[in-house]
Amino acid sequence: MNALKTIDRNRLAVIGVGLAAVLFLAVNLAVNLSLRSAQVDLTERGLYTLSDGTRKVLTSLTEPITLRLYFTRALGESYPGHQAYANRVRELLERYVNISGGKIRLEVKNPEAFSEVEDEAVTFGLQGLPYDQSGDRGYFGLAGTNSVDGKAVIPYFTTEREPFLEYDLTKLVYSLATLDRPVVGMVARLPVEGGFMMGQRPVPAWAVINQIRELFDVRTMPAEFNAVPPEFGMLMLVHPKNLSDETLYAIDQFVMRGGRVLAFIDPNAETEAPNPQAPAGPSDIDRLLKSWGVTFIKDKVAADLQSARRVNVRHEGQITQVDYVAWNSLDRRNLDTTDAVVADIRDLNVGSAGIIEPAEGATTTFRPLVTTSENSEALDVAKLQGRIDIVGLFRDFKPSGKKLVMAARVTGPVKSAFPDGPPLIGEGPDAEKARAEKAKTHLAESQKPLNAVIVADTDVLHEGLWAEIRNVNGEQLMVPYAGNSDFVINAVENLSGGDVLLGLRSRGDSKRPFLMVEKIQLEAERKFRAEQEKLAQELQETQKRIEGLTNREGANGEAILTAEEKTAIAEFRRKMIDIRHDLRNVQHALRKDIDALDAWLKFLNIAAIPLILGFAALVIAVVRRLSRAGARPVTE
Amino acid sequence: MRNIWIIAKRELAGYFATPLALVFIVIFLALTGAFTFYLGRFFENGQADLEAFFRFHPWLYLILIPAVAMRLWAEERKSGTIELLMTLPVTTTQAVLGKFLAAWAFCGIALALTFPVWVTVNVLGEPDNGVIVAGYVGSFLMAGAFMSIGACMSAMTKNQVIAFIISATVCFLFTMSGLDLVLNFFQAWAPALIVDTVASLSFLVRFDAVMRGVIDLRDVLFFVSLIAFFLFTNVIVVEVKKSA
Repeated sequence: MNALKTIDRNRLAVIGVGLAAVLFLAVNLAVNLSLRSAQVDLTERGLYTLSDGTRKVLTSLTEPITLRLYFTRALGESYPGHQAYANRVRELLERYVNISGGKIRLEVKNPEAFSEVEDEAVTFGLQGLPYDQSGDRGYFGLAGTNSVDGKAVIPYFTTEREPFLEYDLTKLVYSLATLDRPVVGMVARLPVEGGFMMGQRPVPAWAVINQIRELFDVRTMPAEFNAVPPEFGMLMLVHPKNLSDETLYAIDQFVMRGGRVLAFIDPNAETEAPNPQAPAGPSDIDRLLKSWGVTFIKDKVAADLQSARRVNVRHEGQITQVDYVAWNSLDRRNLDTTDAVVADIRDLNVGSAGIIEPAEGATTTFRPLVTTSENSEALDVAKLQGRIDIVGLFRDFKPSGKKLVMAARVTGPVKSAFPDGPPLIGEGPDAEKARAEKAKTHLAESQKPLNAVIVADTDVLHEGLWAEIRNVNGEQLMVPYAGNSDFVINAVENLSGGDVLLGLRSRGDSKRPFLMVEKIQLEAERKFRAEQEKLAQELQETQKRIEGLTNREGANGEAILTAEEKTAIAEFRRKMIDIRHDLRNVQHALRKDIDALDAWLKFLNIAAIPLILGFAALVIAVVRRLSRAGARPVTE
Repeated sequence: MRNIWIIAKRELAGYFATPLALVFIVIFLALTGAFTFYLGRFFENGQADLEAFFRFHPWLYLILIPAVAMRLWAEERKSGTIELLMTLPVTTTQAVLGKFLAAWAFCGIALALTFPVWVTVNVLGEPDNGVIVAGYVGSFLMAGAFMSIGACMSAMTKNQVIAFIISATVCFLFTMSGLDLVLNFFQAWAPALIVDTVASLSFLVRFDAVMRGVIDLRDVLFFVSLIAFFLFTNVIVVEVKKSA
């Protein structure tokens, strides 16, 4: 009877546990399906909270947009990471649908091998990835369409771009939503739009230009032009130089009519390819800049020790790491975060940027957007041409204590750079006539205040400074590590009159370096670099002297040396060994403080607390024993 | 509630009455530190975040928490003190909860003692402290889940070694359930819904999500419901064994 009772209890227990298991699974299943946006984003910059830019884009939609998310289930079964990411993409898109108030329609599809859905995905240009032995392809991409057959596609969601997911999705929606895109005129003296170099392979367009194209109607201006079409909202000037008076006048009058300008000027454009027809040199639109109230210092480059980028250089026959003061990785300390263009930028990389200043007697307001730290120096451009002595630049760096301006926003009323009216183009009566004709519409003063952003660097545009190209499934994937493209797109968007995208951030994995280690490293280097240099020079001289003595050979190939010379050589050799030893010591000293810090941190994090705990336990045990021993006589 | 509190307090004090707790904490701290600095190459990476620190928590818990949990009930049963415990005016549920809370709090103390790494990363650079807070919350929740499994398994057997092995195995399955190893077993016969559900039981996937800096209610509910399930099972097992 008792046994029966026990069996019943056991059975009851098993049933109870079974039911609890079912309840546990059911609760989690239900919660997974229903509770989608109940989360607390603890990240400093709200990385997983929709940005204002996205909200603005979604709430300002007027036309319906259909998004088709293709995800092959079997792909998720083979790669669980993909499944988790696909869930995130789907949930994010569902939030887009909610915020858009029904303007966005979402279809989730499962393109299985050899199905119609797979054909559809392929037609949209989605990329398949073989996921098993059979070679069947799995798809994980997005195709969007609008009401006028416009199409935009993300061929494959790679996990490498996960931090940029919101940015990519919102840009896709935005590109489908804006039917009349702002027109941007491009005047470039650098191969930003790619093309064919003479006798060489085709050169692709710079990544940032492709990104601008996704959102704006970019129209390339010819080398020379006499007017800017009226539909142009803004002009983007990249390394403008050798512009004819006619072209300069066209730009000037465009500005007088209220056209916006985004200018990238550079005293030392590192991306400028050698070209015998147009020799390298600084940008040159001084005439226009002067009328806008800006002075561009053409023979100087802004160097900054605080934000210098660390590079590997061959120095004295060895590869060493050194801070290249002319290449800067700027952070929020260098940016005017109250201006919308740079408000959300976390870091910006520039390469030998120039310096701009407000001109004397300017009628405009000059607002610095990007500056160096006070640990800066205006370097001669000549020092960065030909063979650059990066170590020397670092060693001889003399901080000026001044912040140098690398980019600024210039606003306010301006007068034409052509106060005497249009320039005379060509000679003869026809030219005079044309000039008189133009003079009728000449504007001597701006009709609307100028609004221009002047950036004293063109290298800031090139992806070599701000993105890593990774090859994922045979596709070139751009993974930014600095906010350069955000900066440029923000500027274009802001100047072309829109502000929808301004709050949209690509929010990559910003680097959070060990600032303390960097500081120690910098101090150590400054301390030892001069000494290292001196020793290296001594070493070289000693080697030369030995060579000089041993090179004097006799007829039979043997060195003819006097006894003194032999002693001298032996002495030099000894000295050489000593110098090498000292040099090694200096190099070792460079790392010493950092190695010591590393060792201390390891000790503190691995052993310190256990040791303290052990000691505390010991003390407690001893105290207890003593108090027990002390208590004994009383009880006895 | 009062009874739970009394038991929890007594249990927690019990941990520190022997050097066992100290040994466990020392091992935990030394291993997390060593893993972070040597395997995770925290200093060499030069990044002011605690990814290298949290990444190893599931694997450390996999071994260390079953070791703490194994004696929770197994020892009581072996030494016969369970009968004594059950004669006290407390219900089985109160005893189970009290013991679990004490063990979980003990894990919390061990976790809190890793604070030097948080200080370190803040001295070295400017980390995103929100992400670090999320990491600690996630790690603590995950420790609770491991502990509830361990406690339940400990109640099933008198032998502590067996309790350790079983709970480590169950914890391993939960940790890995997002991976092929486990999913393949279900894929053969179960519908997609079940496979997805099993995949969603993975501690690794859940903890990864929290470690990013986002505390999702679903992840919190997952850990809490898992703890509740194993504690319920624990109560039932103790009841059944008591009557046996």
